[in-house]
Amino acid sequence: MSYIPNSIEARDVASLVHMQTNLRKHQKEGPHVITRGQGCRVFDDTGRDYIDAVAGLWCASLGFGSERLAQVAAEQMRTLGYYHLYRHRSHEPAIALAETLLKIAPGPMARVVFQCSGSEANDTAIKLAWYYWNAAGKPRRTKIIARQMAYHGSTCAAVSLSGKPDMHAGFGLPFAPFKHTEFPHYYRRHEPGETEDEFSARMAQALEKLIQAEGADTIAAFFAEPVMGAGGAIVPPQGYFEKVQAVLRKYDILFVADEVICGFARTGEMWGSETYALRPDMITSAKALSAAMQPISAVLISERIHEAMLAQSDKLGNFAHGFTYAGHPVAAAVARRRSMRRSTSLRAPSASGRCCNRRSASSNRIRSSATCAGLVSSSAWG
Amino acid sequence: MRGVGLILGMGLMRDGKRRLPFDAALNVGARVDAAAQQRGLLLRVIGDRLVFAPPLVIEAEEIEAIGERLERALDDVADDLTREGAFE
Repeated sequence: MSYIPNSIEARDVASLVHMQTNLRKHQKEGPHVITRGQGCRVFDDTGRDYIDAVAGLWCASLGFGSERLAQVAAEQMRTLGYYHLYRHRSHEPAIALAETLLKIAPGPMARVVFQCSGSEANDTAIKLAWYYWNAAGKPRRTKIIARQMAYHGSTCAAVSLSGKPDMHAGFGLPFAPFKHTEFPHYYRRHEPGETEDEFSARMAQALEKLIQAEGADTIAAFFAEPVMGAGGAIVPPQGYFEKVQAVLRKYDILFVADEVICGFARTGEMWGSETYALRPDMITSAKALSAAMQPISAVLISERIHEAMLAQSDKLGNFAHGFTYAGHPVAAAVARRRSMRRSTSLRAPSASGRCCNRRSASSNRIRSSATCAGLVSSSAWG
Repeated sequence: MRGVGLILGMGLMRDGKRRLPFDAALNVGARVDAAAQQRGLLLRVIGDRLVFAPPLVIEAEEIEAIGERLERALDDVADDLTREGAFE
């Protein structure tokens, strides 16, 4: 295809590299340019409207435009458009957001570490797991376990943590310390006659076997999303996390809940950890944290992790880690306003009732349309 | 097909009861993705699995519209596959 000179398509193809895209095909077919958004709809450069059924990249939880958040961002840019959190410097938007996150956390959490993306949040949580075991005098605990088909981000470490072979291919990844246990997709992977509980028990046994084969004293942490997102929106089978967490406790392995997609009400509760009774040592959060209006992520750390970090400062003199834009005041102000609103409305019974009604309406409508076409697997409807 | 809250995954299968997937070469997921876009619906397709995680502020009529547009897209692809003899 040849593009009209200086058209937006020609400019795109001549200048941009697109993520998760066949780059050769893109040279031929060009971009699909989105120009504006309103609620759940986006409009392309021909004026055509689309409903985005996946909130962009699972993130635009309040839709694709917000006058309210635009005002928050503009006001913060006028007051303090940038400052960092290095070497004891601080600012109110980051403090207030951290306080809000600790207040709404699904379990007791002690402190918050900020980054700019979910990938960086998981990358930081990996570093903190290593830092924790170093502080605990067990530096051999370096291996990290996640699930096959899980996606945890795109940095060198976060994509190594991910269990998607297509994201490792061509990069020489994953790095050696990253191991992957079974993909808990009940419908596709259960044996004939195997119940969900039996399947979950088999998944937990596989995890335990992997831990034993690697050596429990070499494992630092286990990472899991409450509902696997880019693995295919895989809801955990009955009993799965109860059994998996029992194995982790048995071998004293840190548990990191990747709430980048689930956090902020995606599962119908504030956190997927609430929906599935998870007791993580760390929680990573991004995406809906700021309703995707600003790039920001958070790692919530438990007292156990924080105490180890304090001990490391005693020993090393410095928490030698950071990102220039971590806890950026504009992003933090937007996220704070967004989280305050969500935490209030979610806890009101009427609002959660509406959420449930929407949920069932959505599922039923989509299910009935799927039945009509006959393309969709039906035996796993639950 | 399973979901919780507003996150839901749906597997496209040649025979759901017997858990028989489509031949990967048919690219059924990618075809549904393209058909849905034609019908005004942006989906996320992972292999032959469609996932739904709309903005949480979605309104009832927009959920209806997702269902309608998806239904038409699935019908389009089912018709094509039937014509090609890949699906009954």
